[in-house]
Amino acid sequence: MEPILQVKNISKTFPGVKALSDVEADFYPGEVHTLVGENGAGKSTLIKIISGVYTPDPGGKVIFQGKEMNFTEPGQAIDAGIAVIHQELSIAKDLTVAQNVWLGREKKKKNGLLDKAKMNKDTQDILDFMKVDLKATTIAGELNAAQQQMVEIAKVISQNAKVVVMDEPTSSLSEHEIDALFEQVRILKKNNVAIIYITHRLKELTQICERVTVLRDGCKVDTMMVADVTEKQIVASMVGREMGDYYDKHDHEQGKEMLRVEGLTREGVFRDISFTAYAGEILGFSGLVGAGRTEVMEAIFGATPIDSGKVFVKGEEVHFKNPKEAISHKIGLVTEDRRRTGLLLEKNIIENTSLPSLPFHAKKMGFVNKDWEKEQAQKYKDSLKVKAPDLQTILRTLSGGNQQKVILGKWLAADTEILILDEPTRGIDVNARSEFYALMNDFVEAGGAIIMISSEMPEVIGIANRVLVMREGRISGELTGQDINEQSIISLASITSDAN
Amino acid sequence: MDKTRVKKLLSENIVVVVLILLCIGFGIASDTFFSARNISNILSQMCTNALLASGLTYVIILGGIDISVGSVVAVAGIIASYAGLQFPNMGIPFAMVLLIVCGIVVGLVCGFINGALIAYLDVIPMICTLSTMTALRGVAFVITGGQPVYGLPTSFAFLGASRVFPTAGMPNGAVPVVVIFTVIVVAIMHILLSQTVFGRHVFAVGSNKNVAHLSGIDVRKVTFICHVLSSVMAGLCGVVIASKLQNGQPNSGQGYEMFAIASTVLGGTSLAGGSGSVARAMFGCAVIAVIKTGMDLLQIYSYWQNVVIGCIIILAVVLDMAQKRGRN
Repeated sequence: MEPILQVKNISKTFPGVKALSDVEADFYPGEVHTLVGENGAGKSTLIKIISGVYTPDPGGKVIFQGKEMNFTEPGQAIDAGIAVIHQELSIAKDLTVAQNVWLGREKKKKNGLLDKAKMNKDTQDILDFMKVDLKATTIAGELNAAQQQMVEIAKVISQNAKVVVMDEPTSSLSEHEIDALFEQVRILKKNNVAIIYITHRLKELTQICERVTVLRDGCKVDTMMVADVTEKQIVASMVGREMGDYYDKHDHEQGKEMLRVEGLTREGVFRDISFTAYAGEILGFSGLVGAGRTEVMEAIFGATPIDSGKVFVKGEEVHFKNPKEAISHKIGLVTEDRRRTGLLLEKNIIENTSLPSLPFHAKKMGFVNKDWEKEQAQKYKDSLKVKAPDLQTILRTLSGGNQQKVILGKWLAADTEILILDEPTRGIDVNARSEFYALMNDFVEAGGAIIMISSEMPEVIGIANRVLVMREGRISGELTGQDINEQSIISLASITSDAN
Repeated sequence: MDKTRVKKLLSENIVVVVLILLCIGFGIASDTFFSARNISNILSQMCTNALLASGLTYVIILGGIDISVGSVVAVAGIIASYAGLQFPNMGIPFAMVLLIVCGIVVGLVCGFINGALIAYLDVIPMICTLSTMTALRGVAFVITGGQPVYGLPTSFAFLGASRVFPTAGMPNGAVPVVVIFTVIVVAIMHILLSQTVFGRHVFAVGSNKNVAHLSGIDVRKVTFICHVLSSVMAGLCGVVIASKLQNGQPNSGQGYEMFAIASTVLGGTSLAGGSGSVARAMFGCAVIAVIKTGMDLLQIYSYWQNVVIGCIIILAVVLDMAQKRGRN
C-alpha cells in the first residue's frame, strides 16, 4: 500500500528552540496513526506543519498523494484534503450545525445568495450517514462537547478530507462519549481516510489505532505496529526509561472530618448531594462528563449559588457567597481548564502564586508584601520542582505540567487544607503526572483533604482512597477498597433505561 | 549586552525613544523649543491630560474604556465655578480645598453612575460611557444655559494658572502650581496601581476575570472602583481647567478623552487589558504634549494636529497588536 501522506526530514527551529529535528513518517489510507510523546515532544509542531500553520525548515518535505506540498497557510491544506480537528473545538456557537459545517465554504445559488436549503440537506445527509442523532438546523451552542465534536467530524466529511488530524479528541469526553467518537473514527477508516491521532491516553491505542509513532524531544524515537508492542514498551520509549506503574496509591489513615455536604441542590443541575471528605484521604469523584461534578464543586466553593443544602467546614456550618469566603476557610479549587480559569497566562510565577493569599498578607494600607510573595513563590517553585528559568517567567511559556504545579503552589501558599482538584492531570505528560500524584499524596499525608474529579478511570482507581460516582446530577454510589474498579464505576456512572 | 536584550529593552521603552527623537527633531526645527519657558509650558499643558490618563490607565488595564471623561471635566469645572461664586472673598488655601473637593465629589457621582452600570449591571463600557458622555455634556449645558460661569475671584485661579519658585529669568515663578499638584496625584495613582493589593487585583481582573473571581477577588468591586477612579481624575482635571481659565465652560474638555486614551496606549497599556502602568502613560502624555507644542512653534495649522494625533493612536494600537501577534 502506498502512503497517502509522507513527511521527510522535517525540522522546525524557533528562536532558541529546536522543536523538531529530522522527523519522518508515513501515513496510510484507512489507518489510524497515533503520535505519542510527552508535552513538548513535538507532536503539535508536526501537525501544524502538516496542516500548513507552520512551514518546515528548508530541506523538509510534506508529500501528499505523491506530490510535494508547500503550504503557507491552513486554507491550502484544507483545499488539498487535509483537515484538522483541534483539541479546542472551533465551533461558532451562535450558528447552526449546517452553518458551522459549511463555514467559509458556503454554497451559493446562481444569483449569489446563500443556498440554505442545499446546505441544510447536505449536512443532514452527512449526519444521517454518521448515524448521529442531530439536526442540521440546531444552534451549535446548544450542543454538548461530544455533539460539537460530531459537528467537526461532519465538517471534515463534507470537505472530502483524505487526511484527518485529531488532536486529543477524547480529552473532554466521558467514556461513553468516547465510544461514540471511536465509532465515527472507524467509519472514516472504512472510507479510506488516513487519520493522524494525538492522545495522552495510551489505552486508546489498542482500541482504534494501527500504527504508533513515538516522539521525544523533537526527534522520532520509533514507529511501531500497535499489535506488536505493549503499553509499557510505548511508555518506556516515550520517557526513555522503564517506568513502573505511575499510579501510586497510598493507604492513608482517615483523619478528622474536613468538609461535609448535606442535601446540596441546584434545580436542573444537581440534586441532594451529600458526602463527607476526611483529612488524610483522596476522595475521587467519578462519572460521565456532564454528570454535574464540576458544578457541585463550584457551588461548594461559593462560585455559583445553590438552591438548598448545607455545607460544613470542620463541623462548622458555612454559607459561602463568593470564593473569597471559601478561601478564607482554607479551601482551594484547581479548575479543569487551566488556561481559561486557572492561570493568569501573561503574568509571572510570583503574581500567580500569591494571587489568592495576597490580601491576607498585605502590609499596612494595603501595600503588597513583595518579600513575602517572592519567598512563597521561590519556596513552592523549589518544593514542587517547577521547571522555569526564574520567578519572573511568564506562565504562558511553561508546559502544562509546570503550569499545573504553579496552580498547586498558589493554593499551598494560601494554606489550603481542603483541596478540590478538577481533572488535575488533563493534558499533562506521563512524567509530570506521576510527580503530581506524589504531591497529592504528600498533601493528604500532611493532614489535608483532597477531592479529585477525574474522568479518567485508571486515575480514579489508581489514586483515590474512596470514590463517589455521580450520574445525571446525583450521587449514584460510593466505592471503597477493592470495590474501586472499572466494572463497578461504569455500572454506577452509566445512564441506562432503568436509571432514576 | 546581547542583541535580543537590546531589542527587548527598546521595544518595551519605545515611547521613551519616540519622545527623545521628537524632542531632538523639534529642537533642531525650532530654536525656542528647548527654552525654559517652552519646557515649563509643555509641562503645564501636559497636566490636564496626565490626570485623565492616570485614571484611564486603570479602566484600560481592566480591558474597558471610559470616554465620558471629557464631559466629567466640564461638569466638575462648572460646579466648582458656581461654588466659587458663593465665596467672592476666599483666600488661596480655601480656594484650593474648594476646587479639589468639588472635583472629587463630581468625580465620585459620575464614577458611581459609570461604575454601577458597568460593574453591576454588566453594560458594555464603551456603550455606557458613550451614553454618560452625551448625558453629562447635556447636564453641563442645562446647568449653565450654555453660558460660561465667570466673575470668579483671582484666588480661584491659583491652582491652575499660578507659578511658584521665581528665578531671575522668570520673576513670576518657574514651576506651575498645577505641575506640583499633578505630580502628587499621579504619584499616588502610580503607587496605588503598582504597589498595593488593590492594584494587583486590577491586573488580575484585566488578565482573566474567571481566574480572578476563583482566586477570591471581587471582580465587580474592582471594576466599580476603577471607574470611580477614572471619573475622579476627570473631576480633578475639570477643576484644574476651570481654575486656569478662571471660569466654567460647558464645552470644556471636549475631545480630551481621545488625547488621554492615546497617551495611555502610547505608554504601553494594552487595550486588550492585563498590563500597563501609570508612569509609562506619563511618557505618552509627554509625547502628545511635545507634538502639540512643537507644531504650535512651527506654526502648523491646529486642525492638522488632530489628524496627527489620530494617526498616532492608530499607530500605537497597531504596534500593540503586532507585539501580541509576535508572542503567539
